[in-house]
Amino acid sequence: MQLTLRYLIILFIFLLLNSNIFPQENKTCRKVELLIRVMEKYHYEPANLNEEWTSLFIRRLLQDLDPNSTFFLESDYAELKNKNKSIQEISDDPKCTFVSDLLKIYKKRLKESDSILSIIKGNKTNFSVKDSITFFYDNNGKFPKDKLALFTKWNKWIKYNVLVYIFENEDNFALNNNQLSLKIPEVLEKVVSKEKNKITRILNYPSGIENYVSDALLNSISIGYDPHSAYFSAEEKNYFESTLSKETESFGIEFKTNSRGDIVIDHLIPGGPAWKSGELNKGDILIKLKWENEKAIDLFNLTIYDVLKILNASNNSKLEFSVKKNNGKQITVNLIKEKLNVEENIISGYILNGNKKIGYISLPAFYTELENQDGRGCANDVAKEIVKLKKEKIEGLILDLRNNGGGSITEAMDLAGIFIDEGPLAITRYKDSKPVTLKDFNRGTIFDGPLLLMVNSQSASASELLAASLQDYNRAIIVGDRTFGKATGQNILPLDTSLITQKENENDFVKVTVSKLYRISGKTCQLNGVLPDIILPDALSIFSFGEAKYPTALPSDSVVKKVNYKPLFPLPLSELKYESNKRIGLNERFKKISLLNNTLSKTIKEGRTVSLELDSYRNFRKEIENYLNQEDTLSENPSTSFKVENLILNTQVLNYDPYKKELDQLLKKNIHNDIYIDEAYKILEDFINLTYKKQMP
Amino acid sequence: MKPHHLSAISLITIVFLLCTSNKVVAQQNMKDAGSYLMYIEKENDAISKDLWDYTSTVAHSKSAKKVEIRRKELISSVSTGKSRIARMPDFEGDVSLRDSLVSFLTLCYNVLNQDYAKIVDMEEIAEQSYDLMEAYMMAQEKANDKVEAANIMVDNIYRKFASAHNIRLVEKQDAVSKKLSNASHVFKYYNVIYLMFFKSYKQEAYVMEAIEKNDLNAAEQNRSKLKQITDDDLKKLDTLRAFKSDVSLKKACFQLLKFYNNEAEKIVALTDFQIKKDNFEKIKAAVEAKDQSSRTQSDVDQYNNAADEYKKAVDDYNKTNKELYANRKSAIENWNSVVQGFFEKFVPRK
Repeated sequence: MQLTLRYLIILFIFLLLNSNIFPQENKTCRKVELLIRVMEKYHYEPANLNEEWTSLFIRRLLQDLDPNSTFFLESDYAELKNKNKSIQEISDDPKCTFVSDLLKIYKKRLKESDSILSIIKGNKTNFSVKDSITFFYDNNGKFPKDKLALFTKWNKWIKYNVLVYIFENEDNFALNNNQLSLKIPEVLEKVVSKEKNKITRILNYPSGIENYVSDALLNSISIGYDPHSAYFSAEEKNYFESTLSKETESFGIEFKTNSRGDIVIDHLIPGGPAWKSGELNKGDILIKLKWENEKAIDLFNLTIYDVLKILNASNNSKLEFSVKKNNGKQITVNLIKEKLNVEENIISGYILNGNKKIGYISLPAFYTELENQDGRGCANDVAKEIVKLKKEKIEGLILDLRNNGGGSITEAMDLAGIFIDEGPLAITRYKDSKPVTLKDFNRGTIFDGPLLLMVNSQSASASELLAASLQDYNRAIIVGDRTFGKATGQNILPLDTSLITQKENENDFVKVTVSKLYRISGKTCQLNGVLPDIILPDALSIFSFGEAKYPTALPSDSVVKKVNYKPLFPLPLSELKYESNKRIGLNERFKKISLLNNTLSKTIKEGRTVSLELDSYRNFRKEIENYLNQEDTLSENPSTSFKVENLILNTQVLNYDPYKKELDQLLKKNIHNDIYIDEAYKILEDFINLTYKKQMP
Repeated sequence: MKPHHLSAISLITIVFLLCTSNKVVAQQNMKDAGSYLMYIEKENDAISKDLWDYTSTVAHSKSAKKVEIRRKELISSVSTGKSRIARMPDFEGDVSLRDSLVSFLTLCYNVLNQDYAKIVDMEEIAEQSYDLMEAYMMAQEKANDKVEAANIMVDNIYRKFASAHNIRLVEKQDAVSKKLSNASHVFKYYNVIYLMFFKSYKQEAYVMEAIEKNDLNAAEQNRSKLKQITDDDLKKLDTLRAFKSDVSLKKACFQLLKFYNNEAEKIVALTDFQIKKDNFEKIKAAVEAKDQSSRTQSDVDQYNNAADEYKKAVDDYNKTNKELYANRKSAIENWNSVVQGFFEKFVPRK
């Protein structure tokens, strides 16, 4: 009896140990198996994992490992594709050959590229011969056909980056070609080492290149189901959570590295310093950091971990963030770290005081009470500001949802309730379930006056749903650009549910798309977004950043569900549109944006060829700089329709805190200079006048 | 301070319908058909008696337990009546009267048991309503409509049967039927006023619940709704007639609705308090973060100013709360005693 027990214990220990003795490749294949199982079980619309899906997955994976297509050759893709016809076969293979083959090729190609870079560095790069590089907006993801093509691609890429770097410095425009030639070797050295460092970082990835490849592989599978499903390794999740502890002081920004190796803002913590500045947005590229009274640090060649080290260097000085916005413009913002568990309202209302007294509230995301230590979600914070605005007798309200990437659907619905008496607001459907109506459970309204909602192509998910609800009820005038088109909901689930007895931080996680969202009519915003009642020309619109751009986006469909809702009287949209178009036609900045959109749409279709000759490139950059300078001058043109004023109750608080006052001044200036807000104000003014006219006997 | 007569009300309305066409069969030639109808009427009488017991208890008893016992008795009586009628044979091959009575009593049985899912489409109800109380009331209302329609149908079949068999129906009311018929008018009138009161009573509860949870969004929305409901119902109440020259119920409800209407305006002090509290806490935190030496006289003045404002908001809050409590208490007490007097006056005790 005792003997049996002993054997059992030995066997048990062996099994425990055994789980750690498999090579990384096998672990990856095990994870692939688990991931597919989670996806099949919970994903709203599981993919058909056939040969075509698998070949697209392999293409996506190679692109993820080589975003600039400068490592792999097209033949590598062909080889992997021909050997692996189905993802199930890949995960079922006990030797996990796919992963070992891929690793072998990847390592080889990285080393080859490193050698190519050494050759380029050693050669004399000539910027006076006729040469050019062409960028396609829709990258087809094809890799060079052979090593010669690869070498040419690298050479052009390095030359391009040398030119970009040189002319990032405005002083260099004044230098002649000879003077510039002297600077080239140093810049070339920098650019090449940035690329070489990228390669080294992959080869010497802290937890091993195997993990790097494994993460990319699992993420590529997730994205194969839809663009919002994703995989997070336990390591990745824990690292970023530790940098954002609520006990420590922080700027309230989460970063990520994009496919080009740039450090990009991934998320702003509601109420944190970056959020409150109103200047930074998701997607901004970090260029430089400068602590007060110290030298600026160029982030050109740094990793996300290096950046986090810089951010942690001090706790009480001001840090100047230089970022590149989506439109190419570079801005600087000064921030001071704060503890994130601040006991205060995150939202601030303003009064636009002109012919009419209009309230203005900007909401960059739908945060929940869980994210806000104050214990309240954004709907309650917005409600509070509206109560304050009503005390100051506003005649209308502008709610700015531009660049609002979404968040809590419940908060969005609670927010709609502020403006709608009661009724159904939207419909949601989970996998294999009947559609369910999302309702405004609070009877009554807080604000029933004229309302305008500002949106753009970056308003996604919850913000689109709110816009759609208010549009369906004829409750608000929706103004701006067509919204993003994401009408799906995600849940975060552990990759391996059998690991529940282990520590949570040892488990990987999967973000799975589990539901779809629909308007009250049963139609969806998926892919199509919300078409505003009045469209304003937008420089971002031409890039069509929307959901439809993702190849694996879920289709746009509809549901049939009987809902009882009574829309309000139709709004006088044709009159308002007519007046707005008239103004836009005469406005210099809007005219410029429309013109730019026309030029850009041609470039996007045909690709953009940039000369790699010094003179031509300089002229090309000058044109861009001129455009941006003109933009700056025009954007420094404050609205003549209104003044931006603080709410009396908010002013009391600002008087105590010079830093908050400084941020507030900046916000007010931005609101005042924003042509979209200016136009929104005028539309609402027209609307109030029209309503007033109607009420006259 | 709770108002009574919250439930049971519409049950009475429903079962009254069963008794509105209380008939006595005058026998002529068709002896068998007459007996057939007499049998049915006997069952109807038994149910009517229990219904009256129940009605009288609802009108006069303050004990929920007693009301519940009477309700159970009535349910059992309906159930017995239903089984007996179901066991009746056909009449010369005609089962229409028997079967329609069984369906009608089944419907009544389900309504008495509040088993609305068997009567109306609860999914549809859930879709249209925003809280459980609303869903319950809507289900009750829809069930009542169905009972009313079924009752008319049964009545028609009953008359058709009598006429087909040459039986003359004489409208006659015995003591119980008469009392039930009178009480039905009393409750019908009461229900109209009661529902006005109940809507505001419930709406006020939502406002209070939201204030308690510090949910300013819900508090403000529900407050605006309370104002709107009471504005509308005060107008409706104004046009409502008296009951047999008695205006006591109308007046008591008017007083209550006036209270709720006034409360919807005054309660702003409670939400105001939340905002001023927030503001003061922010200022306090900002002042405490500053060195004492760097605080200017203007800082100190502004701080004192904010502190005074906050103190005033606290005082207003307490004063409003106290005042509302006292007024609410008196209005509800008055309502309760008027309701009691109203039933005392118009619904006889057993």
